[in-house]
Amino acid sequence: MQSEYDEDPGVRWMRAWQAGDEGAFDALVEAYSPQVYALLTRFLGQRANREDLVQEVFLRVVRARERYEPSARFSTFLFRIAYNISVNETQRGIAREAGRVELGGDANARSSRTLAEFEDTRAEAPGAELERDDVVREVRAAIARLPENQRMALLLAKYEELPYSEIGEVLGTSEKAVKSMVHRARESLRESLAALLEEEEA
Amino acid sequence: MKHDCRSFRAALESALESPREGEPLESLSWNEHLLGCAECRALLESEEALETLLESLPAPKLPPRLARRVLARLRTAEHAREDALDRLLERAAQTQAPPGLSRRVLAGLESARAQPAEGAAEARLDALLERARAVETPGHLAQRVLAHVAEERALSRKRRPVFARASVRFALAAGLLAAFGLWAIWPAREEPARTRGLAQLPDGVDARMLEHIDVLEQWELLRRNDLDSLLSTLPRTDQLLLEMGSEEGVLGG
Repeated sequence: MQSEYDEDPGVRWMRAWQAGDEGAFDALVEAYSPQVYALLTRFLGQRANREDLVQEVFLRVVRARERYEPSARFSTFLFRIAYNISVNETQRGIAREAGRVELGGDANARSSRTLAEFEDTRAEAPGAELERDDVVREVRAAIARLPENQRMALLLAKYEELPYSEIGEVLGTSEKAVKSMVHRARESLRESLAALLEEEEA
Repeated sequence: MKHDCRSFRAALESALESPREGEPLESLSWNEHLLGCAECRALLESEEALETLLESLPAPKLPPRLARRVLARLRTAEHAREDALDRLLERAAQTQAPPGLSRRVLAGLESARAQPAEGAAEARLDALLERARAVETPGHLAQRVLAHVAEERALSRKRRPVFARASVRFALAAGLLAAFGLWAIWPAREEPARTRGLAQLPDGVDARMLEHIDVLEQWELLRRNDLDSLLSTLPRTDQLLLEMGSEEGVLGG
């Protein structure tokens, strides 16, 4: 069946793989795994299991092999899977932390640990100035505090340059709702990073 | 919000939404509206600064040979899955029905059929409950029953003889009980001695004399001293006989 997305490289590889070309799947993983890894890192922070989650995303692609029908660019399909997995991962994390708190852990442990995952960037920016590291840490922590859908909408718009209509496909919502999410996300960031923004403006 | 502000902010939103296709953010700073609107100017500056901050975030560092590793792990996972499925299929293929299974199943079914079905008792109970539910309660039944009981009570009070009333019955029972108590307490101490002594008296004892003593004992007129003085009046032979009886416990000595 022909579709308007047939020119998308991801869709082409998926079609080829469905037709029996096993190498096409390797090409998909080669082309898209860095994007998925980067999105998961921006969304979840520096978690140790990001590679497992990338594997989980592609495992779902494997399971969808027979019934896949392109209704958007392949990356949109992939980001939707990644978003669902990330939200599940966040929920599991919250459940784990709740269990720890019940067993006598610190009630603030979850939020501080989550932010620490976003803040630990030294390994990724070797040689960067300490001051710059602080700014990066603060910006990442502010993004981490955004609600999940606003955070994903902002990340997809800013770093994947996805149009709002496609972000709507990923989040399962309308283009208008995405516009509102991005607007609110930027508003929250402008508030929480007010001091940094003033410095930047100066 | 003024009309000019609204159109400027729409342009700003559009520039943020499609940075590649729309008007670049920097070009908005030349917008005429900003000359007279400090609020929109501040907003633009803030958004520009936020863009700079967001763009300054370093790209996540990718682990080396990420795609190769993911592919290898996917194959391992898929192989493990296929192996597990193969093992299951193999086990299913090897499974054989134990000998005589069908015969035993049929026998079990027969015996189950012979026994009353488990649900039969419940069905009967259900039927009973259904019938009970179908019984209509006459209107004001409780009031009518209570009125009838009250009437019967009033009638029976009139009909019953004096001794049938509870208070009278109680007084009579108490009197009888007191009389029985007195009767029971009174002769208790002398009774065993008398019967035992009489049974063992030798022949020839004056029976009349014994009756006298018995009567006197019963009316509690006899005490040890009184008995001695009375005995002293008896003929010698009787005294001797009484002494013999006394040794046998006639007088409870």
